[in-house]
Amino acid sequence: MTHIRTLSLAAAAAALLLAGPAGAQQQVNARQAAASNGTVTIEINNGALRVVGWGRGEVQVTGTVERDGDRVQLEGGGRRTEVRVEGRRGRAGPASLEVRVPAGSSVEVTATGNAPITVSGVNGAVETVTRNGATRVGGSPRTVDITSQNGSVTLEGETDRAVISSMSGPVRLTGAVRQRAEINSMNGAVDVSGSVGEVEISSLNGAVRVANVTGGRVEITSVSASVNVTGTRLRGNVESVAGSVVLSGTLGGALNVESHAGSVELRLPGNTGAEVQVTSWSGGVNSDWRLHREGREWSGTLGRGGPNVSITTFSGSVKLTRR
Amino acid sequence: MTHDQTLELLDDYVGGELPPREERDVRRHLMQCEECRAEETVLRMLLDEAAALPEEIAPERDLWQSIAPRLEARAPVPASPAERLDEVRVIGPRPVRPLPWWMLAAASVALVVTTSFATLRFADNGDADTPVLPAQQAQAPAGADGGTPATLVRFAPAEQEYEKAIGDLQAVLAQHRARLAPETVTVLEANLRIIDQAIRESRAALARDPESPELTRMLTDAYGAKLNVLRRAVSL
Repeated sequence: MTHIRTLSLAAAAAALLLAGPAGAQQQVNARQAAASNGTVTIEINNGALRVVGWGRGEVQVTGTVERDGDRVQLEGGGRRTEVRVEGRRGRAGPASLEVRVPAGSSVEVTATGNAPITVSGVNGAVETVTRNGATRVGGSPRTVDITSQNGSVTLEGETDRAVISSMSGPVRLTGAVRQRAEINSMNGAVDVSGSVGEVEISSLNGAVRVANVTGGRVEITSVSASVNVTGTRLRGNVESVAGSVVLSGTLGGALNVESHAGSVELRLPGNTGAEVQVTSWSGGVNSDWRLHREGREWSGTLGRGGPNVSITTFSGSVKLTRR
Repeated sequence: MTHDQTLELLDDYVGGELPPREERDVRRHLMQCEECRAEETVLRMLLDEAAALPEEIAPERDLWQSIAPRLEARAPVPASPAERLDEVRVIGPRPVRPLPWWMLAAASVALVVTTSFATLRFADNGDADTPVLPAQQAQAPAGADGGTPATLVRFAPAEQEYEKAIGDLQAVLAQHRARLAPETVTVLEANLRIIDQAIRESRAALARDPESPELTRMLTDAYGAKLNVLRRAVSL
């Protein structure tokens, strides 16, 4: 029944064909009036996509479509505009497109094949989903939500909140996330060198590096990934099953580190004040500060005391280093 | 969007009948699922083939000329009240739409996390007069016999719940394993092995040092880590 509905609708569909006459490569050039803060959705398969925010109240699509018979559909306008590369039969072939959107737009991009995506100059929310292509988001989007299966992800712009999920591609955050960054990675490395407010990272395998913490809470969970965090006013929770954990910087609040088999190293300035408690079932504990040992627990006051620092391991070694 | 949901909506998706949000969710799932993409391809091929058919096939002779007079000659049959309703009558209970697998999995995880922590808290805070073990003690895992340390016995109900949730998720994962890329399966399996090792080690240590709250927490954390990995795996 649905097939019949599908067919009838398909037959009635009015497609706006933008591609030029048949040939090896077809030029695309079309525009559509759009609201200054509407939503633009873009769907592409293979090729490349560049989305750029601009000062005009219209969406402009330029570029080329590689496969004969494929077409670019530009629909809607106003609050919602859709740009879609459609295959003549099944999935679309490669297309290289630049889509200019009003700078205040929110943008939703889906790349079903290998198309890399670049977004810049967009001030609304940016949401991208890619399979194999790299994703790069710059500018100052309000929020960023990136899902990538195998492609790399780079967030180099400034935003309030970012949510990034990657299965095996590496994730790099070099820009600024003012409020909160949430990154989920299975196999890809996570490298946060930009400034972040709160950051929450979950990784199975991919090494995690957070290089510029400035007081925001850090929440990191890992299974076998190594975790390396540096910054100032460190606070939060780091949990690992087998990955090593290295935290380096000044303390800004309670810090809790748990690792089953991975080693834990905490590098603190010599003048640090903290209340430290270390519990390790069978891992060695080595500290540059004097700690009192009672069974499998080590505790002590660093300097004049301060935030609570708790480190727990099963077999992972623990090291407190004066840096 | 899950596999089953996507399959359910695929016809409408191919027909362009889904609302934008659902359409996008289906597209996202298609990116990750070979099986659904194959189904989508088949549907689109059918669509293309059907579209290639002539819009109209003229009969060799006009049958209507002979049929119409016969229909008009019949007296109209009055419809019963029920038949006058626009709705089709449903006899018996309405079919219940099964819950999607991911919802069941999520529910089982939520249940085990909630009940496990509740059980542990109850066990830890219980005084001597309070029965520490509920009825599940009789079904505690191997080792929870008379000689098993008290903490491990107290953990048994929680462990059972963890194991059940893990089993549920693993069953779901086994069904959908073919959809995952081999390298993803390798990563998942390697990390699950690491967590299983942590569970074994924590459990063995807890048996030797039954009063250690730290070890209880480590064991709980290890189970929690396994649940998280499985939950992520089934949501792929």
